[in-house]
Amino acid sequence: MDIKNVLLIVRKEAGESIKNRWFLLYTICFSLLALLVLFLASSRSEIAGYSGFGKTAASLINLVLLFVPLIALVTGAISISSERENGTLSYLLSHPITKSEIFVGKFIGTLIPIWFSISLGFGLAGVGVAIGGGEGDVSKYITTAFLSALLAASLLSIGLLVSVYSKRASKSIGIAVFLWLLFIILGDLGIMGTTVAMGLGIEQVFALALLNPAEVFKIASVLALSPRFEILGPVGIYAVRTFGKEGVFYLLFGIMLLWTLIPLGYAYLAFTRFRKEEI
Amino acid sequence: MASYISVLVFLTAISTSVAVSAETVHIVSPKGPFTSISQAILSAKSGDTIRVNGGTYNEHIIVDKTLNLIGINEPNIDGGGKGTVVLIKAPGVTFKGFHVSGSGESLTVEDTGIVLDSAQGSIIEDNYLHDVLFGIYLKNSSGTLIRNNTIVGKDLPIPVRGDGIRLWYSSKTKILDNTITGARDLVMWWSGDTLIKGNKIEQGRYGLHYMYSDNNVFEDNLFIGNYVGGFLMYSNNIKFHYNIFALNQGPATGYGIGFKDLDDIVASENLFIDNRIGIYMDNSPHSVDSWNTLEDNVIAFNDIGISLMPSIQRNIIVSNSFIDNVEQVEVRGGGVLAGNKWFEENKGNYWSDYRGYDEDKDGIGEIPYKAESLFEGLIDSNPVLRIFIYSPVAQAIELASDAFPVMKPAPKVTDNYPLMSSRISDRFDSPKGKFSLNLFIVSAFMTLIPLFAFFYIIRR
Amino acid sequence: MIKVKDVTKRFGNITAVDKACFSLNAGESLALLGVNGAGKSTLIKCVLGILDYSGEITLNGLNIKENEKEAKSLAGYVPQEPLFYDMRTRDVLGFFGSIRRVRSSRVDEVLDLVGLKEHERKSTSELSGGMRQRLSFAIALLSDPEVLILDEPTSNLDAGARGDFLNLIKEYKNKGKTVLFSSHRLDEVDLLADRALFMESGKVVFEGRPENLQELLGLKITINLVVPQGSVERAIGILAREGFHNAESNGRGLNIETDSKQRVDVLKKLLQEEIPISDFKIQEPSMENIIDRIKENGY
Repeated sequence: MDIKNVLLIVRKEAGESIKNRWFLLYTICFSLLALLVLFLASSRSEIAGYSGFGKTAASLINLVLLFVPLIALVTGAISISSERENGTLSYLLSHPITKSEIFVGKFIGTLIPIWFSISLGFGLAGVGVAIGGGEGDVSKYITTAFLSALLAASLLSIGLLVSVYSKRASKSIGIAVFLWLLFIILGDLGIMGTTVAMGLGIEQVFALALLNPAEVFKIASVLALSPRFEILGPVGIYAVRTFGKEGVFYLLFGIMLLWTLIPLGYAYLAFTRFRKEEI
Repeated sequence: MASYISVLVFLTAISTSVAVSAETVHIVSPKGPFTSISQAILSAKSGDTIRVNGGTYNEHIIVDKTLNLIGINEPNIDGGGKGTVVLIKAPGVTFKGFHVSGSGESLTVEDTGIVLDSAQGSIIEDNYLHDVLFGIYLKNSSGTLIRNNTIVGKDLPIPVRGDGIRLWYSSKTKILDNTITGARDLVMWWSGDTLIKGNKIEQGRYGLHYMYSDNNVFEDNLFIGNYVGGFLMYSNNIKFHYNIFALNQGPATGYGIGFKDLDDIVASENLFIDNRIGIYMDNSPHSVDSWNTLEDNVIAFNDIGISLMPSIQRNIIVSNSFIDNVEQVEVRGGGVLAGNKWFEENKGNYWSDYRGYDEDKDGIGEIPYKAESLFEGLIDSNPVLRIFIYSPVAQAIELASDAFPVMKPAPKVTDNYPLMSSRISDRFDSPKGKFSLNLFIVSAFMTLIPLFAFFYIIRR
Repeated sequence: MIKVKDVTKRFGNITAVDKACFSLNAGESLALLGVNGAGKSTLIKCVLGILDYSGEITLNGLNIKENEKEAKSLAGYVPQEPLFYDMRTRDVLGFFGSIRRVRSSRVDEVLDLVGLKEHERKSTSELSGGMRQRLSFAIALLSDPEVLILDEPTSNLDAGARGDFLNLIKEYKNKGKTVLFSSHRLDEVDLLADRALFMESGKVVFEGRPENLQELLGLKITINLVVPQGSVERAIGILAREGFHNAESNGRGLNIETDSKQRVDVLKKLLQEEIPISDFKIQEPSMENIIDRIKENGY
């Protein structure tokens, strides 16, 4: 793998993302909403010197959960399928560049703009909080931003996997949006329904929740932001008792890492080995 | 009072260098005349004063006479890690100004810093207790004053710690302005008519814990960072005012305050903040002719504002401010509350999640506040589902139930006169948050780096 | 320069290229002929290393599977329908130039060469079909490759653009470079190819030199003449006398099937006899005709 070629693709992809009007719209929306959330929350965040975890962090987590997976999944899903559909991939491959270089370049090149948009959103919100005199725990804030970045990487990998297996961009966008719904709402809804109907136990609910990268992100963020894992009820208490607070955090972090590396690795192999005929 | 006067007399005597008094003063210091407190006690007679100068005294003391023990320059009595350090067995003893340390670690024999056994009307004041299993232990010692002591527990896991202050059949006690850190409980058994005021209790198990103790008053106390701020059982006529219960977040419990089988409580102007559960009520009031009153309290930033068992009745909960609790009201196991008053005489509570309006500007919302969240209903009846709190699915479920009201559960609570603004007592005024330079710098970088990158790429 | 041996490419159940074999010497020019779907584009993509295949392909002795980049560096490719990223013309050249590691001044050289200098700041989406084809050609020329591979290079161009473009290729060929191109037009083959290869259903069915292709296959052209109704019978008579027996009335005039070389003779004879020809059209043999002939002749 030639790093020069990878960087060329990174530059191309990043440039295309940033000039894309949908991406710009997304970035602006995300940043403004983040600012709004923090502004509203900092208006009454302290009583007698105590401030709650409350709305600020919850809203931030929710905002990340709604926005980041969608843009990451869709960006990933179209990145290869659209080039395949319009023939530019095949043309690019006629030049002295390998599929590995293209794949790695695409992953990094699409990830960086998403990371930038997350950084921008968190940054603006953080400036707002700092000036407003709200909760000023930098490390928690950075941890959440970092977890969001990891969430983006994970869902981008899943998107890429979708992309590798799609011939048409429209189809891959459809699948990406469905996956988003699945990760953000349907999956949790399914667990909730099953729990109510069949009375799942604490361990089962915890195990099922771990299957969903978005849910894993949420639990990890709550643990990182709040000293109160009990907020997550018996499952949270069980998890912390079983693994320890740091242990749970590393477990969740590890799962998010796996949710990044496995789809990414599989997509890479599929693109470069298993599905060579699908250009 | 008598001992106060005696001390005064004694001091006057010293200052005028006239040593004439029935109350002899015995001096203990490392250089003598007495080098041990026990020797001095042995020589003293009831009513005498023992003045102990600064220094370390490695001994266990038994005070079996009515004496005034006064520490000057912080003398330290150290038990060497064995047994109880100071045992007071006579009534009317004054024990003041000492450092007490080095008790044993046995829970079964209850190794303690200072034990008062049948020492009615004693005064324990201005002492600093550390490295002790139990701090101050009152047995059958009613009418005692415990004031301005600091108790730091042994650095042990909570289950093997002793209590900071323990009252056993010791009524009419006053516990004032003490600080207890890292102990187990402040616990009272069969000790009524007690005033507990101005204490700070932190990093323990139960900040306040008691049973069978009636007619107590709690004011201006701070219960911070304990597993449970206070847990009170089987008692009547308890008054709470101006206390702060904050950051009590023990696993599975984490109550700001919990009531079990408690009658005739009046709790007003307390602050319950950032606990797992602000107020937990189980079978209170217990008697059919009893009512509890909770008014003008601030219940904010808790995971659950107030948690009640479904059978709870006869509570008047009015004029409180429920602010940004993740769940404002929980009904344990799901269900609907009945027989409690959430409003009275056209006045209800403030609910931060109230979405109504105040047309006639009388400070009261025109439509009732109803706690009828579908998601909350689900997590009340299936606590494991709490894991999904803050997930978009929670909002999705609320949206769905807003769109299809048939899905809405019956309201847990209905407040017909919700207040439009919160009422936070001036005594809880907080300084405005400080400008955070670190956060500002980090955030500014997080903002500027992508902005520059965006412009750089777009301009290329 | 190019050696293709037993190359087979399957898409699922469909065999797009079936045991294709050919070789191409340095400086030689080879046309791949065949109807749409014969497997020309697929074979070209195999040669370029875009598609995976079974069999063996070497470029200048380099196996494209083992020495992917070196082999790909040897060839410039002009696809059937050039599609680019939505960048400025100059940036597209810069991008591919970087992949091919050419010096940046080369971008200006090829822009001049294909006459796109004045459009260098335009986005590729603003270029016309002919300009896009030239841009594609410019990209192919960036590294001044030994081999130029073109897939139906003129199929999307109008007549004028097509002529210009063929001249560009011709110039390149005249520099002694190797050219492999696919086409379904015999005139392009005449103009550019030293040899022609016919493909049908993925198989190479015939190989020959273009100048004797028509004779070899006995290919006929059809001349459509528009003549007044009254002159049709006379014209058929004249033609029969001169030895052109395959003439028949078609309502507006007549169709004459003849050898390509004799097309001028037909017209000459009729004009000498003062047959009033108001219009005429020549139908070259279609690729289908050619393939049919190949099959009939059992090549």
